[in-house]
Amino acid sequence: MKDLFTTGEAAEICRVSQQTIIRCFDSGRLEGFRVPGSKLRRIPRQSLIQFMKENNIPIDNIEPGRMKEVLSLPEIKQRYDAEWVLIGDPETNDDFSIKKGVVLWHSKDRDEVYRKARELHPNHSAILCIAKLPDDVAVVL
Amino acid sequence: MNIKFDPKRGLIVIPTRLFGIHTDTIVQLALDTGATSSMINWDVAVLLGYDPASAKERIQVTTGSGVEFAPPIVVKKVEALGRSLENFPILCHTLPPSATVDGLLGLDFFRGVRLVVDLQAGIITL
Repeated sequence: MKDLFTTGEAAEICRVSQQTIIRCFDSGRLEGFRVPGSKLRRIPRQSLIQFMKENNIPIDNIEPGRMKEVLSLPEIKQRYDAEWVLIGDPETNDDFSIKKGVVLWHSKDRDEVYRKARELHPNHSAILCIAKLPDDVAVVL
Repeated sequence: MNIKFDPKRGLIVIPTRLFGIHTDTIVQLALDTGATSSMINWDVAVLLGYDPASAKERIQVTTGSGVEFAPPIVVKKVEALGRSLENFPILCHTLPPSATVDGLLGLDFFRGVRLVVDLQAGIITL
């Protein structure tokens, strides 16, 4: 597991520009240190995680295995029952029904999932509501 | 193409692939033969890179609960049920989360083709 990150690596993990990371580093919002005898910045893992949490940046990129797993649709339904999920790089059948994919975000709050989808901006994605309409609810659109 | 659905309950939900400026996403749209226009939730349009807020016109939308005005966007490509339409106009209007879908696939998507909804077998065919 990597314990130190360059500003470029941190930018990639946070999905922001390197300049943004450098600005946050220089202002003290992102803690780190300079390599002795040089101007190179280094960011410890825990500082980066703290920074990501403070700024509501999903930590799945830095936590190997967390929310990176490819799940089948039945697994997604089982794990995220009654939630909205954002699926990255979905594998689908011909009719675009989901076969499997990586859950990038999940929440009972649909608008949170939409918001995260805009932030993460995956190239190929799917949005799915796992919740079923209750039997005693009618929908008239 | 055929899609199965539960004929006894719920909406008929059609997985639909929408193409944006640089991205694509698959959303779940309810088949709505009572709607003349297709519609997606506002945030889905933004996710795809469109800006409904900057649309110059607002289309009058008559719903079961009144009249509203919604901006149209032109989606690069819409694919569903084996049909693919380019530069397809869609209204942006957010349905309540309890609808469990990201919008509606209306009659405009199906005009000129044969759509069969078998509510006995639970199969929709296009």
